[in-house]
Amino acid sequence: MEDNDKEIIAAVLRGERTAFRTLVQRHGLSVQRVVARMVGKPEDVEELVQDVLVRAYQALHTFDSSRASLRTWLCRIAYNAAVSHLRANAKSADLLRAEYNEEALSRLDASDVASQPEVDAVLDEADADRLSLLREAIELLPATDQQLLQLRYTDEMTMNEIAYVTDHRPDYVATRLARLRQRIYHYIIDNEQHGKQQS
Amino acid sequence: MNNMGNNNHSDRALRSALSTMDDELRARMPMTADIEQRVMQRIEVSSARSRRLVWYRRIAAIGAVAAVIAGLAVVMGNREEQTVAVAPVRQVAVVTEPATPAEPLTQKPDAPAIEPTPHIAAPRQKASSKPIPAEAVLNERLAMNASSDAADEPSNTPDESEPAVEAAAVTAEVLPEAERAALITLARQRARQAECVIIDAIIQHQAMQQKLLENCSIDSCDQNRYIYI
Repeated sequence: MEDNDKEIIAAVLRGERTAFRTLVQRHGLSVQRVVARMVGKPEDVEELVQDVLVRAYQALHTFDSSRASLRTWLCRIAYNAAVSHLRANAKSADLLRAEYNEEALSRLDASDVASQPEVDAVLDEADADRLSLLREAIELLPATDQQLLQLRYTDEMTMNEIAYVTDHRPDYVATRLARLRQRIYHYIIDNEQHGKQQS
Repeated sequence: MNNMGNNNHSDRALRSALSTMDDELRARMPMTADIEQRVMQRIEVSSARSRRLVWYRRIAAIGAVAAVIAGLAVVMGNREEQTVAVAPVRQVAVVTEPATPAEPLTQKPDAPAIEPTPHIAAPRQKASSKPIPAEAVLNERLAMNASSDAADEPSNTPDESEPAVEAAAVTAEVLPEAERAALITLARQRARQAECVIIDAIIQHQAMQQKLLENCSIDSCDQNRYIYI
């Protein structure tokens, strides 16, 4: 795949614009997912995806295959475009939701940090109730945190790749992911205990 | 704690929840051929714009070079004009009547009028072909002197070919210092009026010619030429 990407990139850089269509078909979906996870409106997503791909075409000569794969490079452009969009539309529902979520989840920071086996056990048990609570917990997270989780668990990127995409250090990414797992764990535990008390 | 973010544990529930959410998102916003088509169209437009920009830049660069060349040409032209404007006219003679010991120039109110002839730009050869007024006056005076001297020394009749030179030479030699100074002053006035440089003379007196040249601020002058006075 990477070798094919290199050949196509070389063709595009030689002036074969139509070769870029192959790259769009191959990696366009990854770009769209990164954007769509952070930007709510479908029309905004479509516009941003186009912008990202056109920008990638114009900056293709700067792509350094020794630093990242083409998919990671495209995801980085997409992530930056989405963050810029959120900042430019500071009053949008996305950002408000992120701020609200941050405030709602802040109380978890004061909680006792659960041991890793405890967290693993909760996040590994995939029954219907647990999945529903997990989803609620994830949706309460800020858009950038949801993005971290998706890049890690759905796109299966390495810490270095996530760090490249989000422009953070790998150890920061690892710490942030661990904190997110703790938050989700506490959310599930708190709600399950609350449900038991009600019943 | 950092290790908790690693993939050592399966996190099946978390993965499952995230995967479900991603699938729903993908279903809601499919990567359609329409998006792909529009991306390619925008790339075409962008490329065309880039090509146009390249041409605009080339044209602008050519225009800039042309403007610089034109500007240099104007500057050079101005400089040339300026040079021409300040160049002195160096080819006009000052003509006046030679003074004689008997009739000093400064004390002869009825002397023939001195006419500046700024148009006279002739070297000696040209002057000899078309005599200037002073030369005629000198010739006339020479003839008068010759006729008066003929009675005493008939054999000393001056040569017709160089009457003015000899007469002026004699005149200059015998001029008192004060009259020489007057001649110099007059020559300077005439030179100033005509805005010219004296280039010819019939005065061969070297010291006086040198004084004339110096007082007229002549930068360069052929010392072998004569100044008509």
